[in-house]
Amino acid sequence: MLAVSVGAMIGSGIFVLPGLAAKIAGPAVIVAYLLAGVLVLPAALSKAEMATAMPESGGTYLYIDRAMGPRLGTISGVGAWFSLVFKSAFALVGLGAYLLLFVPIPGNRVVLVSLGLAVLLLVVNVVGVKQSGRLQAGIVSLVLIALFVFVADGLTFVESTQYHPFFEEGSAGLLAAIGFVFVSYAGVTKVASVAEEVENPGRNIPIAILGSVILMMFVYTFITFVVIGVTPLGELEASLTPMAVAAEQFLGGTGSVGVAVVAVLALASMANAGILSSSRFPLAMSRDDLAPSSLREIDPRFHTPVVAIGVTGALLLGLVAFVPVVELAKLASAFKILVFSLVNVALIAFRESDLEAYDPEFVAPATRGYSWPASSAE
Amino acid sequence: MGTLALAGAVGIVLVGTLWYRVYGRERTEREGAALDAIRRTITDYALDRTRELLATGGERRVLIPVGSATTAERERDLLRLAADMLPQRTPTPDGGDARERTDGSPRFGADTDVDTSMGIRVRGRWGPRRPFGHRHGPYGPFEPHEPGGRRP
Repeated sequence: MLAVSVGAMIGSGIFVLPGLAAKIAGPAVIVAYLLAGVLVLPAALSKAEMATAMPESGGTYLYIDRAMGPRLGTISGVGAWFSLVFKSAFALVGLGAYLLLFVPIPGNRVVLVSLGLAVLLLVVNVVGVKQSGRLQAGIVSLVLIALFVFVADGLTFVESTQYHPFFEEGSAGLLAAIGFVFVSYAGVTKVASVAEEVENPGRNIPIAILGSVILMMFVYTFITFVVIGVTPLGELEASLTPMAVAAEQFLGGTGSVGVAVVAVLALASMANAGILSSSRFPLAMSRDDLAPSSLREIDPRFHTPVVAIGVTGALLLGLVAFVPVVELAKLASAFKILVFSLVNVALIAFRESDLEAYDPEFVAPATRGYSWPASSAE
Repeated sequence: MGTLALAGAVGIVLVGTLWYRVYGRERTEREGAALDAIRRTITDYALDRTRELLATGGERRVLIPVGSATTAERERDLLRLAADMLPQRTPTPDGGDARERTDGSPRFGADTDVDTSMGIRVRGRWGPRRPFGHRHGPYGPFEPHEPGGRRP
């Protein structure tokens, strides 16, 4: 369970973004990762509560739609779908960059490789590989072990001079970087969207959501600490493969290739999870009559929503082929922040509505004391 | 960095809104839990204010909005409501408050009979006061009465 959500988060957030984010904030990017995690916590708590009250597929879209009606529901559904596809596209492009490190292909073919992989993953999604869950868990464990080794070994090579000046780009740079790396925590959404299939959701969902956010805060912070500490900043800023660049500094060429292989695995599983969960948004919206009915058709042979996956795939391929990488990450990040705040509003709406059907097993603790004009009137 | 991210967010919101307008709006009739919560809040607030006002007593006026499309029956209903809100034993000396007009349109002027009779009614016959304690509909005590009225 924890593996699902950590698996959804571990990917482009750590293998691709640190370099680009360091360009924005300087070494303070370490703090940016930590603060972004803190900012995600309220939304994560809200989500945990609503997931225990409505254990159904659809996640964010479902909560916002039920709380604030079909108009905002449509916006969040379309947006969540877009940004998850962005994320998958970003993972695929990053994957291409890492793949280059140990497979000899000409640089201008990277896009073709990414496109090929996208098609492969789409086919996998349509055919519906039953073992993908277990495979995912295996990959996550492997990646976590590799990251642990990376941090443990890397910490002994850290140069303190690397951290000066710490706030290289000032507070504006730090804030921009927080917004930028915010997407790294977006994976918490996915636990909620598989809530339907979880045993004892009242207990396990909150544990999985909170546990993974806190775990990832530590992982991100330590990794960026090592990456910044061992890599010359100039080299880092230009890189789409910051983990490999960093590993090369203290583990040599073999270490770099090792990291690259792990990164390819992690990014592939992330792109796969992204396609899987993003294709469920059109499905859920179609069930609510907010999208054409063909999107909810389940293929009789494969038992998967073929049309929804197809539409998602078309957008994914278009993004990978025509939109530059960095822009991809940026486009999604601000909208994510908006969605996270809407999730918090949705929670308040549900609590104030006195709906009998709304009876969460888990009540988000930090939000008990919020004030709302109606409370005094009742 | 900021501009593109914000443009992306705005763009996504626009696409979502457009999609809803073009496709979703005519196919759905649901509404969210938040609207219900807001309505309760407003109703409760209006009730509290009304109670407060009735409890304090003293001079007060009731303004009744009347448009050219308002039926005589509806006018009567509104006036009765307004009468309920005024202090029971202290009608204004001229009873004219109910007749006061703000837009100066000729309709009432041409229809003085109705107007006067209403004024007399307001002044002369205090109907049994409607208790404000019970729950009202989504528009509070000012809920439209006619069957074609805007109801959620």
